[in-house]
Amino acid sequence: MTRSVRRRLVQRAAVAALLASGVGAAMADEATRPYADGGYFEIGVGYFVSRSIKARVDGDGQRDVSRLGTLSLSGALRRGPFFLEARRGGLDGVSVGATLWYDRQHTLDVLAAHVPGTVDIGWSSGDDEPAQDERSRNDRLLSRESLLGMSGLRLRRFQGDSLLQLSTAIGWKHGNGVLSGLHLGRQWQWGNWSGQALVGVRHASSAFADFIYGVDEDEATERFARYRVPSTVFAEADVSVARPLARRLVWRSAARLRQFDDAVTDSPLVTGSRSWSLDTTLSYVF
Amino acid sequence: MCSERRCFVAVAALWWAGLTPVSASAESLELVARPAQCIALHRGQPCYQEVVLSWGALDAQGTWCLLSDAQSAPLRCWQGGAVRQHVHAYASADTERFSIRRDGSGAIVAKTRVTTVWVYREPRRGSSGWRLF
Repeated sequence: MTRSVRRRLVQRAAVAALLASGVGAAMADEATRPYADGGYFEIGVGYFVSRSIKARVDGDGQRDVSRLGTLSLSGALRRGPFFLEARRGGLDGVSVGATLWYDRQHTLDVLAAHVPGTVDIGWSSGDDEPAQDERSRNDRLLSRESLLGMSGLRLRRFQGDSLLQLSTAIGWKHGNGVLSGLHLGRQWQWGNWSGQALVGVRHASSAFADFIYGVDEDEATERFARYRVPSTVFAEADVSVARPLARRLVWRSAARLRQFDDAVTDSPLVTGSRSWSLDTTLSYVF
Repeated sequence: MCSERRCFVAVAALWWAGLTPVSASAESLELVARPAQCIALHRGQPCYQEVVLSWGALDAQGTWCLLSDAQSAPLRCWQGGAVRQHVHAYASADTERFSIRRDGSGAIVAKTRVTTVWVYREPRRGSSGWRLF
């Protein structure tokens, strides 16, 4: 048995043990639960504008700006301690997990499977074949930020309309990088408008950051030289507003900002230190 | 079962009532709220909306009050049948009931209600609340 396989087995066994020990406790006292059973599923159409910190494949020094119409599926489901969350809007991602422990103000969740980011569904052929020409290799380097399967823990403290969250998750592949976060959030209601603001910092281990922003020896091209990313901290903020338009129709808009430090901005793949996005969506809620 | 004579009297009375242009009949007066639903985002959130309450003709001789179960004082009181509607600032997380009462006798002649419904059936802290990973 190789070391990485053994490590993976140990990680999964630890998650299973945590689940087994915590679920019973979490189901014990419904009166003090700071969360509620339920769920929703929504389908949305919207418009998304973003400016990445990454370079464009067709121009040095130019940052990639995307403007696209979006079709999004998202939802959440909780039954007792178990939950599934798939969000678009706010800080996106998909999580499957269970609440290990709680009291009136706190929840400690294990994220059995956690995929930060948005799932883009598309079709391409021959992706596994090594790219031959320079442009294809550059393109592959710039579009490497894809799905990252992770598992981890999330501790939340609720206080009125505020939230404090600590989270940490370890990647399943690509060197088992670790992404940890500290976030503060607050929600408001003005008339029938609801708002949410989040600010936070994330720490990405070298393995995690390197998978996204590093260039290995065998990947390097004339334009993108070899670069090894050290561990890094980045800040993020997210503000969103939502309003019901009808019994099942919600309009939502969000603005998001991320600020990266030198560890990331020194990467040849990166030409800026700040990324942002604007997102507006009309969703039908089932 | 009523006796033949009593039944005749009752039917005659109903027929008479139907022919008479009663303007403040408790049975016939309709109090309508538009819209009758207010939509909030999450369960438990209060919903805010202007609601138009309207009703049919009332007895010109009477004094009337429009009541809400959300407050002890009447929303308004008036004399005669000229007043036919009232605009109300609805603000509730569940339901507000309205009624029209004849002042003096205390008889309720019409009722209606406005209900808050939610897009997401869980409270804001629930699964639909925080959008954060």
